[in-house]
Amino acid sequence: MASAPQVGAAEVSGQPRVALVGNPNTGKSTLFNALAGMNVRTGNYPGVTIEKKTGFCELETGKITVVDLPGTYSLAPRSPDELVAVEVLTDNVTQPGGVNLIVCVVNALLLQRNLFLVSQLLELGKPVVVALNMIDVAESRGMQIDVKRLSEQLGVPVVATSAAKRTGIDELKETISQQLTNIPEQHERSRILPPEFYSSVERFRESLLATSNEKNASLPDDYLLERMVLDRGGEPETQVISKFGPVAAESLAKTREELTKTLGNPIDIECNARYAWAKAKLESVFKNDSRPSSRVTDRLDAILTHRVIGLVCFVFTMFLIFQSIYTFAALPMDLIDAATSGLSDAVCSVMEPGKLRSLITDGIIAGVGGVLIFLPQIALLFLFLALLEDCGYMARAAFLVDRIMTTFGLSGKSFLPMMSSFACAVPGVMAARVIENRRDRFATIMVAPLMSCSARLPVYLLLIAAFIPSTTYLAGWLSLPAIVLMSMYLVGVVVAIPVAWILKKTLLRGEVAPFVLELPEYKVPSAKVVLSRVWAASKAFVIRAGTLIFAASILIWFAGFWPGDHTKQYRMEAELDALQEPSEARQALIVELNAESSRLLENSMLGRTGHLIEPVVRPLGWDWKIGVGVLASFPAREVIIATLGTIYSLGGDAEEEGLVGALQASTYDDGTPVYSVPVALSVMVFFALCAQCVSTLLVIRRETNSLFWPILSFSYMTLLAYFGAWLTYAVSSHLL
Amino acid sequence: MDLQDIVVFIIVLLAAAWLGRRIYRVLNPTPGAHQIGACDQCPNNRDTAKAAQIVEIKQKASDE
Repeated sequence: MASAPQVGAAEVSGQPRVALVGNPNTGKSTLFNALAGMNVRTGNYPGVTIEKKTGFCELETGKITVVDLPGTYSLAPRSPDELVAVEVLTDNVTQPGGVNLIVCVVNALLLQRNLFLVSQLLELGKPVVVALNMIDVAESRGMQIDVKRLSEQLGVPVVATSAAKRTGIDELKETISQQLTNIPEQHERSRILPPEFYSSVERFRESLLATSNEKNASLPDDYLLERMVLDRGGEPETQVISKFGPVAAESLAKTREELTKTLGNPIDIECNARYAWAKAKLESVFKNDSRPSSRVTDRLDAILTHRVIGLVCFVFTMFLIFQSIYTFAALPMDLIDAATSGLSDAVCSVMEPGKLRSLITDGIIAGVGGVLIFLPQIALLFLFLALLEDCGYMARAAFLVDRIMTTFGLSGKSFLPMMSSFACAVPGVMAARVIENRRDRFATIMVAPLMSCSARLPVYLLLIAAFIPSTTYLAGWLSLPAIVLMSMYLVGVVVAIPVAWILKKTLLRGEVAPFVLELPEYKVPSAKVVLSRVWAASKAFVIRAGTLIFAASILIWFAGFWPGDHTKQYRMEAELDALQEPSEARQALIVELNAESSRLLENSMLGRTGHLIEPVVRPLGWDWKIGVGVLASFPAREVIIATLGTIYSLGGDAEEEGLVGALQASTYDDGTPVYSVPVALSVMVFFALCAQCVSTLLVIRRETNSLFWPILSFSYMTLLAYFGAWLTYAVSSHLL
Repeated sequence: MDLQDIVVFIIVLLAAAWLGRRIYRVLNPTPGAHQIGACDQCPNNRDTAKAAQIVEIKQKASDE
C-alpha cells in the first residue's frame, strides 16, 4: 500500500532505492503517483518533471524509496541538470545510497522509439524492470503486444500497466519486490554498440588513468566515459576535462578521430546500433499491427519528411500560402480601401478646410486606414499557419529544417523560437528558454529577430502592391508578388544562418546538442483552435492600428503640418470644393494646391528632419520621405506606412488612388520617379533585417541578463540592414 | 486662436501624452501579468515560466 505523501523528505539510509526513468509523455509522473501516492504535477508537456522527486512506497518486503527522475529521451547528459539524472543512475553521487533498481516506463504506443532509452539503461549494469505503460490505449487502437515475449527478448521483467487507470500497479510492485530480493553483486552490462567502440573507450580510459594516479578514484562510471566519447560538448566531457586538464581533451579528440575512421560519426554509430537492436528485440512481439491512423501518418511522413521530397513539399506549401494571401485578400482589401476613402470624403463634405479637417483626413484616416487595409492578409497568414500547426505539419517542418540548422551550428530546438518569431520576436526570444545549452540558446536569441514578424508584413505588402508587377506563372497558380513576398521572408532566414554560424564560431563556440522531437499523428484541424488563433492575431493588429498607429499618425501629422502658414492652402481647398465639375481651371488649381502643399511639407518639422538625414539614406536610393518614414518606424515598424500615408496626403499627392497610387506617382523635381523596383526592394530588405522593436531588445536584455547582447543585436542588425539595403539597391539597379 | 486650433492642440497633446506613457511603460515594464510591449502581440506576462506561443509545434498527446 502507498504511504502518505512526503515530497522532498529525507531519504532513509539503507532503504532500497528505485529510480523511475522514461521518455516524456509516457505517463511516468502518473505512475509515480500510483506507486508512491504522491501529489506530483502531471501533464502533457515533455519534461514536466523538472526536478528529482522522491517518495516512499510500501511493498510486501518492506518500504522502498522511489525517485522520480526528469523525463528524457536519451541518457546523453547535455546540461548539469541532465547529468544529475545520469549520476543518480550510475551511483556517481555524493549522497548516501545509490539506486538499487531502475524502473523504465515506456509508452506502449511508441515501443520501438522508447527502447532506445531502455538500451542505454541496460548498459548501466543495474537491474531494470520495464513498465509497459499506456497498454490500455494501445489495446484500444488494436495493438496486441506479447508482454512475455518482450520480456524474454529484453532479458528483463516487463509489466503491462496503465497508470491512468491504475491497472498493473500491484503486479509492478510485486515484480519490484522480487527483483530487490534477488539483486546480484555485479550486474552484467549490456553491450549494444559495436565491439570496436568499447575497445576505443577502454583505451581512452587507460590514457586517463595514466595521466595522474591521484585522480584515479575520481574517474567517472564506464557509462559516462562512453558518453564522453559519443557526445561532443556534453556535460561529462566538460567536467572531466576541467578535472583532468588539456591532456584529457587531447586523448578524447584522438579517440574520437580513431572511432570516426573505423566506424563513422559517433552519433550515427549510436543511433544505428540502438535502433537496430530495438527492431530486433521487437521481432514477433506485436501479434498484429492494425493502427489505421498511424498507417496514414506513416504513409504521409514517408513523403513529407523525406529529405528531398519533403523539402520540396515544404517550399511548395509556403509558396501556396503566400499566393493565397494575394488571391483571397483582394476583395476585403478593396472594401476596406473604399470604406476609408468614403470616410475621408464624408469628412471633407461636412467640414470646412482647416487644421481639424487636415488632422482627421491627412493624419488619422490616411495613417490608420493605410495600415488597416492589410488586415485581411494578416488574418489569412495566421489562418494558414494555424492550419499547418493544428494538422501536425509544423512538427514535420521542424524535423526537415533540423538538418540544415545543425549544419550551421543551430540546434533543432531553435526551430520553435524561430517559427514563433515569424509572428512576433518577443515570444520567439522567450521560447528559446527550452534550449538547455546556453550557447545554443543565446545564438537562437540573436537570430530570432531576423525572422520577418507580422509587423513587417504590411510594409512588404504595400511596396509589393505598388511596384511589383502582377505577372503570373503556372497557369495563374503563382504570381511574382507572392514570390517576392516569400523571398522577403527568406531574406531573414538566409541571413540568420551565417550570423548563427559566425556566433557559434566566435562568441558562442561549442558543439550542437542533438534534437529529439515527437511527431504527432496527422489530424483534421480543429476549427475552434484555428479560428481563435486568427481572431487573436487580427484583434492584436486592429488594436495596434487603433492605438499606437492612431497616436503616431496624429504626431506625424503635426510634425508635417507645423510650422507653416496654411491660409493660402485652405483658401485653394475651399475653391476646389466649390469647383466640382472637371475643368481646366480646376486642374490648374489642383496643380497650384499640390505645389503649395508640397512647399509647406518641405518646410515643416518633418520635412526639415527628412532633408537633414537625406545624405545618409541617398546611397540606398531613398528620398527624404522614405528616410523620415524609416526613422519614425524605429519604435514600431508599421509607423512607416502611417508616416508615408500622412506625408503623401499632406503633400497633396494622394488622390483617389490611395497610398499605393501616391507612391507610384511620386517624382523628384526633375520628373524622375522616386520609387522604382530597386528602391522598393531596398526598403523591404532594410525592414527585413533591421531591429526596429524596443520590446524585442528589452526581452533580449532580460533573457540574457546582460546589456551586451541587446546592444550587439541592435548594432549588428542595423548595420546589416543598411548594408543589405545598399547592396540590394546597387545590384538590382544594374540588373533591372 | 480659434476653436479648431484649440481642439487640434488638445488632440495632439493627448496623443503625445499617451505615446509618452506607452514608451515609458515599455521601457519600465511592471512585473506580472500587466506588461505591455511596443507590439501588441507580445505576451502580457513576460515573467511566466512558459512563454505563450503564437506558433507552436503540437506534440503527441499522452495518457494523462
